[in-house]
Amino acid sequence: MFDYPILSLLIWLPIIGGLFLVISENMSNKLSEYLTLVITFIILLITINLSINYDYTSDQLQFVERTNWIDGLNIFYFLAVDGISVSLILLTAFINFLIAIYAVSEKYRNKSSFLGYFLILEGLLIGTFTAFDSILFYIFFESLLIPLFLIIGIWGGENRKYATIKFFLYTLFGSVLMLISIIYLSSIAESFAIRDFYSLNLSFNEELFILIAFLIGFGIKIPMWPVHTWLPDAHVEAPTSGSVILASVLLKVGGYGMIRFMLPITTEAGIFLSEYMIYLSLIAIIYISFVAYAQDDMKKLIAYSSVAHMGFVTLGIFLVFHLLDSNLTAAVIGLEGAIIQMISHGLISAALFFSIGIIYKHSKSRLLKDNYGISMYMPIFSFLMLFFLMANSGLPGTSGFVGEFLVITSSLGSNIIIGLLAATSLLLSASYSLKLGKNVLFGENIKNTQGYNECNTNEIIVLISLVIFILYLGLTPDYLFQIIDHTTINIIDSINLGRR
Amino acid sequence: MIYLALILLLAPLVGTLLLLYIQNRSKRLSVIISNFSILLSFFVSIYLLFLYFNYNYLPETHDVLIFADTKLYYLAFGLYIDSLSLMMSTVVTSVSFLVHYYSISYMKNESSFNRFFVYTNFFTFSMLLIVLSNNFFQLFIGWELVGLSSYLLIGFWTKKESAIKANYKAFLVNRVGDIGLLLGLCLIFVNYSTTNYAEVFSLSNTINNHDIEIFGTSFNMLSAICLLLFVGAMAKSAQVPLHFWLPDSMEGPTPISALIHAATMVTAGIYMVARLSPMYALADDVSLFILYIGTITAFFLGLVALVQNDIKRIIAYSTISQLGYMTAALGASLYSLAIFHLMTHAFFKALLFLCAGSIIVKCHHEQDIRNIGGLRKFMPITYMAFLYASLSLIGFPLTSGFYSKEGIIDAIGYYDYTIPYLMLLASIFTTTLYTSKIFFKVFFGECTLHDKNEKENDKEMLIPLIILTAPSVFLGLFIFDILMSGELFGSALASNALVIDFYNNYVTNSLHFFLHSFLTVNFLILVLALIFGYYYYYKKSFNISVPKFVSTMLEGEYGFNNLSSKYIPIFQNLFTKYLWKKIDILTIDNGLINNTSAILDKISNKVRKFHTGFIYHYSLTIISALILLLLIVRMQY
Repeated sequence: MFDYPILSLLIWLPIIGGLFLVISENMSNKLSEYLTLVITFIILLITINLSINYDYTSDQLQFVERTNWIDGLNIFYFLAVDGISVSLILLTAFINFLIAIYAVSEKYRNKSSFLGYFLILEGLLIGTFTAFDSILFYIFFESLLIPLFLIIGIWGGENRKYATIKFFLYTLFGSVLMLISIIYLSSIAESFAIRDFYSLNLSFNEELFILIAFLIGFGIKIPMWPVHTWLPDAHVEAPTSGSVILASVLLKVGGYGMIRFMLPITTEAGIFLSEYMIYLSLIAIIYISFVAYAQDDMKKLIAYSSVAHMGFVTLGIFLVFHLLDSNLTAAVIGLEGAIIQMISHGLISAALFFSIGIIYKHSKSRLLKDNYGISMYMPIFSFLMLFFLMANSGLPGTSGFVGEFLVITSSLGSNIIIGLLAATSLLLSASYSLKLGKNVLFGENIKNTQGYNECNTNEIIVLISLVIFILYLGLTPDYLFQIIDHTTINIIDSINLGRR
Repeated sequence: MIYLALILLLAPLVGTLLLLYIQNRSKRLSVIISNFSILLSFFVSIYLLFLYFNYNYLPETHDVLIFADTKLYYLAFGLYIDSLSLMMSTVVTSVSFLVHYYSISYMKNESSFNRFFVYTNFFTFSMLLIVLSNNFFQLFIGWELVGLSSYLLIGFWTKKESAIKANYKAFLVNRVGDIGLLLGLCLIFVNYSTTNYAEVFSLSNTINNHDIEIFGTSFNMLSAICLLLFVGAMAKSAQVPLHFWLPDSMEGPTPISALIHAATMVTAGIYMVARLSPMYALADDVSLFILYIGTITAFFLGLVALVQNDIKRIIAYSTISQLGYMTAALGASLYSLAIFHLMTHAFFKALLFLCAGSIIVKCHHEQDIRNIGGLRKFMPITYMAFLYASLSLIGFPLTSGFYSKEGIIDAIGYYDYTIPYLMLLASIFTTTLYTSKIFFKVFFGECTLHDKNEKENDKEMLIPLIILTAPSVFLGLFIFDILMSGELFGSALASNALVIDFYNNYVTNSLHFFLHSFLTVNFLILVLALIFGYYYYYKKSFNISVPKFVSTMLEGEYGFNNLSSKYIPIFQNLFTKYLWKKIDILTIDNGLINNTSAILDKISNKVRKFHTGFIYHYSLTIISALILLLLIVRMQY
């Protein structure tokens, strides 16, 4: 179908372009903007092309590229995609293109290297989602930290040192445990290919240790309660685009890893621990929502709400363990819900962080008490932001609803109490999202007439395109369902095969 | 028919999109687009109704847009066309059109004139989405979207602090109900892999035989589903204890109160239960619960209306109480009577609200009836319209309200639900009393207008009043017989036999029912209340002192006022701050994370001290270690 290595191109084009931008510090802002726009646009086009040519009726991995990399150790340069990868790559390319558009109207010192790091990040993210060799995956997974660390560390807010160190050590701690378990698994399987791990016969104790290592590793990334505290700090200090990429794509790496590694490899241990992991997810949904309500910094509020929404992703994934023996349909629904929730949260959180960035640009404050009555001066922006807040609270018709609906449905397949607790999110997410809207958008603001004026064209383009996709996925998500459906069923089947 | 029904559904949506596109370009264009789109819907609805009955069509169901079609499950948007959905959509579009027309004049001085019509058009679309739905999934989506429009419209005046508080509250309380509805929907979906009404109804006997386990006890699956769905109805249709958002929603513009918070949206709960009557008819325990919730709402919240002084709040409490009647009818499985009262109530309550709107405009946004009076001479048309609407509300014989309300009360009495019957009878007294309170205070007594040359409002505001008077008075008489004999709804509603039996044995026909009513206790109560109201509110010939605790309880709205405006916000603020500060910051961040790094710091400082850099320290260590090693080796051999 393709006579060129499409996945390698997707990974290395932005990385090389990004490195070039980082190195050439003296490049004019205009040129660097154009370069970024062009590269991200090409990537977006290629991913769209890829998703069109992806045969979603097939269970096989597609666009496989496999060559020897390190001969002696049996490590391969092994790239491929399945449905989950395709959907996440689409998200990555789309969000990065928006960041490139948004950056055009922004001022940063040393803009070319700022944009360069984002390009590198894009390449690494696509690499993480397509690597099917565990060492290759680990390398991409780990290198993700570096550009983000630099973005927050160089262009961040006042307290960035604390935030970056916390963020770096936290996630590093998790990935070390992950590396150990990957090496252990490969020593048994005598191969580093992820799919070879699925058919291993591990003893229960081995599985348990590996599960816990993965749980910590990916749990920190996603993040789960109680290892979530790095996220609000990192968000508050990160520049707008940094928050966007962090919330909308980087967190998804955790969920992706759980689906790719935890579900098929450590099934028995997962079934054993599933109840406790479900409790952790419910705590994330309920307790974190309360905490989000208490925030008076807009970015922190949305950061906590991200944790709560990712609670649905983990809930959907862990429910698979819980339902494997009793209700396979519900298990599939839960897993599909988790995937859709990831994509949807990617769009909605990006939109909200962009919006907060726009407000911050005008008022130079992220505190709720400093911003009010914005709808008087920025009616169009306020309308859009209210839409995003509604989407964040899971309003039907927006993508925020679809994932939550499926996960709650699946949880009712096991126990109505879990479903009830998960469904309280309907109330809780509305209470903090609309609290933000009530305080910031509405009310009367006569003091601060100079501060606000309507968004510029680039911002409007970014926000409107997010609106379109949030609505699209909320009203007719059938295309997304088609992409992920076979893969999901395939994963559940392979889990069951591995057990026998 | 399906294409016509699609036009009916989509016209308001297209209107919304066009209005969004033209923004504030021209008021004229906004008016034309918004009114025309609703009018189109209305005509199509009428035409469909005509086709349906004249050519004896059978109910039709179609899936229109696929939401998800995977290997294991299927979700879609679809339409269900039968007498029930067509009657309801006719009510919705007709009231909606009249309110739209009324708003042209009511909102003419607003700067965001266009935004108002965007919201109202969108509301009409979402309401039709519920009404025409053929599956639970779409029902839920429409359910939340009407909640959204209600939120936006209550907070239409974004600068008004109280409105912003009220819409926040309304949305959250509705969300509580939505949790119930969502759980009910998901329970059906996960267990039976379908959300289509027809398919679920055909399974309802099977569902009735299934059990669900909650905390180790098993419950009947059908009852559980019905109960959860009803929680949604309780919030939307303002039934105790989820009613307290509705009086506050009066912060929105008055036409909105007429359209959304009286005639249409709040009746969505009633419509839903009637639509799902094949399921509810089987769930006896839930029906009994519904009956009592409805009765309690009708009686106790009618009482609250007596102590209110804001004209809109009184009518709001009256709406809650009337919704209680409908709910009680649903609980007694008299589905067609509930829908009947829904329809008549939609017209006369919308009329009351629009009259109230005219009065408020005339009095320069004064809403306290103690400060309004003597308007009869200045607003003769409004006065007459208000009079007819009031007569219908209190159920004066021959008006629409009479047929629908007396029907419910008598039928509940006929089927021997003694306590609900007595409470509903007693509510006739309160209804009449608070209605006469508004009526006498606003239209009689000393005139409060400053300008004695004031005239009636514009004709845009008067025409809807006049038109609405007709169904408020005559609709009941017009459809009573065909409705009660089961011809109107046919198989759309379950348990028709109950109503038909009541009709044949007790009512006989509408004329007989009318004549008979003068001999009933209902009429006696009504007349007594009218006399009482006349002397108490108009002549002011006597004073009654109510015990202190009763009046505080009623004025405090049974504590719901404090609960929602004081205790819950305080709890929210304190509790959430506590969680954040104690668990997140103190325990996890400072306790676990930062402490770990501090401990590591300490250890590394200690360890660093071994590296003193002095050669004699190192040599001493090396030598002593050597000796120790040698000793160990020695001891082993």
